[in-house]
Amino acid sequence: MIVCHPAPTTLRRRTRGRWRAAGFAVLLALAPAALASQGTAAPRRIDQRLPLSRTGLVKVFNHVGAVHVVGWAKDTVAVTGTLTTPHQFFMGGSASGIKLGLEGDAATAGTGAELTVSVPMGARVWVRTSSASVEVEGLTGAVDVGTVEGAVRVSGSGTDYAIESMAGDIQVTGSPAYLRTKSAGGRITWSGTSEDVALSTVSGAIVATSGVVTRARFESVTGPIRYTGGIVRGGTLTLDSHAGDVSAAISRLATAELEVDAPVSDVLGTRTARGTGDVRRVSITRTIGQESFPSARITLRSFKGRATVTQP
Amino acid sequence: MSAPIDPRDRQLDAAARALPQEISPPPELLSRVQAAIGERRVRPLPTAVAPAAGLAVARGHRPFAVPRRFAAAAALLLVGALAGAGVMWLRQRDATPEVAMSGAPIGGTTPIAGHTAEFAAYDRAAIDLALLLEQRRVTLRAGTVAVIERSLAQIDTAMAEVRAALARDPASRTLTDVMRRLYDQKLDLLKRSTALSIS
Repeated sequence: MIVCHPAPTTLRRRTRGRWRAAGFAVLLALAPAALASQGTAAPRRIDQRLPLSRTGLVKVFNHVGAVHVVGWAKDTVAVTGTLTTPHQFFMGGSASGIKLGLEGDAATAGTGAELTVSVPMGARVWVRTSSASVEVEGLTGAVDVGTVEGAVRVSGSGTDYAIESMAGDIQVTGSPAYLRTKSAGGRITWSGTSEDVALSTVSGAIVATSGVVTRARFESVTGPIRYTGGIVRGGTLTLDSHAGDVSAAISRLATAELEVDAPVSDVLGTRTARGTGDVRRVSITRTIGQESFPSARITLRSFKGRATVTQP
Repeated sequence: MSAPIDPRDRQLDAAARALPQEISPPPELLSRVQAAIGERRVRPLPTAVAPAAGLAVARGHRPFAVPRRFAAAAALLLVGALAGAGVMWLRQRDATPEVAMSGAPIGGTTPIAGHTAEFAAYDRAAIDLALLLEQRRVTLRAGTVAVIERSLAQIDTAMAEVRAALARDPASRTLTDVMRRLYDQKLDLLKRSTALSIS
């Protein structure tokens, strides 16, 4: 019997090829662990759904990435999206309330998850994120959003909105009866009509464009405030900034008692200059409109900035 | 079919049957037990003390004895000292807004002279919240801490400016209102920040 042994060079090539294959296998095996250690993971798709009553409560948690909540005409909560985080997705609850989101904390969330959550349009929605942006639209129920750094955008015809972002901008388009937004460093923009609205930020600007308001309070410490809109009879409107300019362009106004307190002001064309000495601010109280008694109260205050009132 | 009986079992049965039905203890043991019981029964209890001696407890059964009036005076002194120390601690705490835990606490407040009791209460609340936030700041991201610190610094700057104006015009209701709102904003920001740190 004749046995053919391979040449030594062929053996070396085969051995080298085996080592290479083993190396690739090891790399492939270690890749997920390496990605996980960096907080990222191979993208995973999710598509889950649960039944929910039309006015049920939906709670969404997602530290990093994005959350998009959309109202639809189905008694179902459907979640689709892409996960690029080692954290696990969870979803559970009953027909009256559902919780869903990503487990774990923000530090290990990697690039997080982008979730699109479709809910019954009358559902009450509650969202919490760290840096994930939040967008809510098409809802008629209550909306409660809290985020540390994420930007928030809410539109629709919800009944009441409570929105907080420590550093992100907040943009609301809609006419909830009750609206509260709070920020620290973010800008707040609102367009709509409301019976009770309070917008507050520390350094961000506030820009409000309204049909009419009943009770409205806008306050910032260093940011400017600008309001354009009307005020109902018996209503109150307050713009208050410590260092920023405040301006109100009042339309659809019957009669109002106007109080302006600022170093420099321009009230319906009447300008006041900065005071001297200890009198650094000038207070103006006057009635505007045609009726014999004021039916609304408008207050503009700025400790260091300019106050402007116009009637387009 | 039953198993064959081991002969050792039979021997054990027989030995057990041979044992007496009852055993009386040795007479000397019983007498010793009775003597011990009798000794405990007649052990003297602490006796009442003669009023003239003014002793609260019997000598010989307590490590030391204290006259009753001395004990009452000492108790009064102790209570007074503790109360005084507590009051001093509270005053010191109220007057010392910044407590170093890990550097300057976020949101520390410097009360001003002439501020009202209302503002002092605000200050205390702000300090408590600032300390709470300081304890929890490690749970916050650096970027979030920066935003909070920057915002609190802006509020503090604004408060300092209003304080200066209030010092010039202490009766100004407008300035007092401005100050109150700044305090409200600061407390609200601190509350929100602490809520963030535990969520």
